[in-house]
Amino acid sequence: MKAIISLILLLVFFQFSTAQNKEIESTADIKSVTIYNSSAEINYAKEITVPQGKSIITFTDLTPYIVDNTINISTSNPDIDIITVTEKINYTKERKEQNTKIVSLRDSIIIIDKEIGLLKCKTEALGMEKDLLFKGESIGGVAKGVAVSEIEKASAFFSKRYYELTSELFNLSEKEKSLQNEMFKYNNQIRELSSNTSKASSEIQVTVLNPTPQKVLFNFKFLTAKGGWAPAYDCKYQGAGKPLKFIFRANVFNASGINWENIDIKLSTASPTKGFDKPSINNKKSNESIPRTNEDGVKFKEIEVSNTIAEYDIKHKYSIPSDSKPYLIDVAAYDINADYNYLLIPILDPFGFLIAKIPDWNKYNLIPGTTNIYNKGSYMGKTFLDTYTENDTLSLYLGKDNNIQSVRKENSSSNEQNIIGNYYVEKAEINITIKNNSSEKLSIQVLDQVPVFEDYEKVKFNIQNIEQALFNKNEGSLTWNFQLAQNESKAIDYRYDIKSPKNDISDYRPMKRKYRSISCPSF
Amino acid sequence: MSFKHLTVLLLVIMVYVNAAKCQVYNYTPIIHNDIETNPSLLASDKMNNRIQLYHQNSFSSLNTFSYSSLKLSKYFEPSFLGIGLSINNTSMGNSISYNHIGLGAGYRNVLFNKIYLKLGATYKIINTNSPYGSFDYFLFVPSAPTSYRKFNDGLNLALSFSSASDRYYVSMNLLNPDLPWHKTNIDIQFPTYYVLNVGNAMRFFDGDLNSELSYSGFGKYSAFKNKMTYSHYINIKLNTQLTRRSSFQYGSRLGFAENDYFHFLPFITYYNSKLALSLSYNFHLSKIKFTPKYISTTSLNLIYIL
Repeated sequence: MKAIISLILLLVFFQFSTAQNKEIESTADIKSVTIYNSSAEINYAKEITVPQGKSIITFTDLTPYIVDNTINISTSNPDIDIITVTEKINYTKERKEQNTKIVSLRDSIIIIDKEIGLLKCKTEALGMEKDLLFKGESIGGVAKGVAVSEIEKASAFFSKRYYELTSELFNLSEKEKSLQNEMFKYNNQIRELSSNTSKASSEIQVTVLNPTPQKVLFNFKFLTAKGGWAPAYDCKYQGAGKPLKFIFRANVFNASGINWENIDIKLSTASPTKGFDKPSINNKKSNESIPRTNEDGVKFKEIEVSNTIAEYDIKHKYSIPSDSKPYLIDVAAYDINADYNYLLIPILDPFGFLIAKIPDWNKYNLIPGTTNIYNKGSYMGKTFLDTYTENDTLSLYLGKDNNIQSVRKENSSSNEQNIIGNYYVEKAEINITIKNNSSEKLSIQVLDQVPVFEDYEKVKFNIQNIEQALFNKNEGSLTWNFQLAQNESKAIDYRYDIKSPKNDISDYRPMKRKYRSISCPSF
Repeated sequence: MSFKHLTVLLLVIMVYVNAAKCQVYNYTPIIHNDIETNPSLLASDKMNNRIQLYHQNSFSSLNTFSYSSLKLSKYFEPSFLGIGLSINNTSMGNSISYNHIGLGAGYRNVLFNKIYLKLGATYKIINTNSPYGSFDYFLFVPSAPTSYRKFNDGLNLALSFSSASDRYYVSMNLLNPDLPWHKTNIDIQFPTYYVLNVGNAMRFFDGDLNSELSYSGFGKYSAFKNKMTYSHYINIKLNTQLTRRSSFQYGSRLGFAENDYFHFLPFITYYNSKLALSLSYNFHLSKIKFTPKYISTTSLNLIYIL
């Protein structure tokens, strides 16, 4: 009797405990994504009716690339206790195909495959008929003669039919080739689109204890390293005296395996994946991360950014497919006041380089990135915007302007052919002419270079007619700053002579001077 | 007091200790690398801040002979000019001696951007402690043995063509030419030398500039004898590197002099970038019987670069 009572109690307890652990499976929707430079935080939300007691809620179809220890989950009702949160990858469950393009392409392939099958059937049938056509070629048998007219008719028949069959077979072959080609293209397209689409998916299991049955809004988020962004700027020069139009865009990529459809996006320059160790000034290694180079077809490069973290809310909703391709989104646009001047280095290039000097640059808190340069509507090229400047004024090269031209002539002479002499004497006379062909008055900076010597005690260097220039003897640079009105020209003439002793005549070189290397913007 | 100052002081003291009391060349300095016989060498950065102390002695009580010299030189890079000072004393026997102070200068220029052309001159004031007569190699022949202590003067002239580092050189020297104000036949007579130095042939063998194979030849005209004699020397110097900065050098001058005797000057030298110390022996063998012709001498040569 006691055993029967115990069995009944056990069954009741089993029933009770089964009723306590209700399992609910659901797929949540992505509400927003905060994209960091080399990671992304995906925010999900889902309202679920949770029964009273203990429940296990499983959110499925999540990216399999969740960074460890980054899952954060909350509910709309504070009375609900979240007991445990676990994450696992489900390799067995086929994730719902989210890329409609791939579905469409696969359907097309099935149709083409059927057409090819039908073509093969028809080809086989015609081939059989062609084989049978000449099997009984002896007309009328061997013993009995056949009239010539009959032979002519038979010959005409064979000839016509044979032509029809071969033509038909040829057409079928061509059509099959065409279909095979089409199928090959579709397969390539599918491979391209699904290169980063993982078949596996993650699941997050949340165990909650609910006092009363109710609808509960679950918000959860986690980090994935399979996303990121890089800045891309458009810089538009609209003319002297007008502000510089600066358009800030971002190239965003998603390789998480889950498409981000019509979501809110926020960009950030933070690095949330750098770990949970307490920062330490002494222990530099704790802050070091291994630079990423190439993952999922996305190339990474290291850039220097300031310690201040900048965040940018994107106004519009965007859809970013999980295909590792960069998608350009608009971030912000600024009208920036700038001082413009033209830099001319006639020794290297006869045309002027437009430079914008932007004060209070740091207040925009931008990070380095590729910048497209436009000059009065014309695309000039690309440059890399290095915002990590030491001072608060940024010099930005806005491209070459053919309206500002210079001509540099250098006449040099030497006493190299002299029979006797302790010094090698070289004289040079430089004439630079600058012309402003534009319709504006412009600020011009001309940079020229004279030889630099290691030992001015041995080498006698004499330069003349540089009263208007700033002369840096150590770098050998000469800088002239002036204004040029429209269609105005200016001539700069100076000369120098070098007397270098002929000390090492066994290794004698007439041109003992050396030029310092200077960098010039390259577009 | 620094080491440099101490060295200078020591050298000056040594000159006086050697009884700085000079003009017939005992043939040892007749070589390209001597600033007195080849003052054109002064126009070389190798001669900058250089002190040379030389002493030669017969160490014989019967035939006493000593020759001491102190030579100082400095090169001025910006003007390509070098100057030098030499103080010499030569003593023969117990009563005959002469000494002189020579002040030299050298200037260089460059020909065809390839060849160093150097010019040099040394003017000498000579104080003789001898009767009137003629000085010769290890010899003095008196002509009027009545008067002692007479001042005289002389001149050495030089012209050389060389590479920057003397990988090749040709130098021509004229020593003791008759000066217009000299009285002939009644004064102190010194021979006139016409010198030719050609080197360095060792560059064709191993290219080591510390080794040398050169030729020195000179004609000696004695006005007293009204005779010209010729001497020819081959100078051989080999170098053995001891450390990166120091080496051991050895060799000899091998000569046939005045169509009369063979002259040998073997030497060994310790050499580093600042200092050279050399010991040499000087002896002569008659061409007929290979018997000693003149007295033998031993020489110590110290060169220091400040």
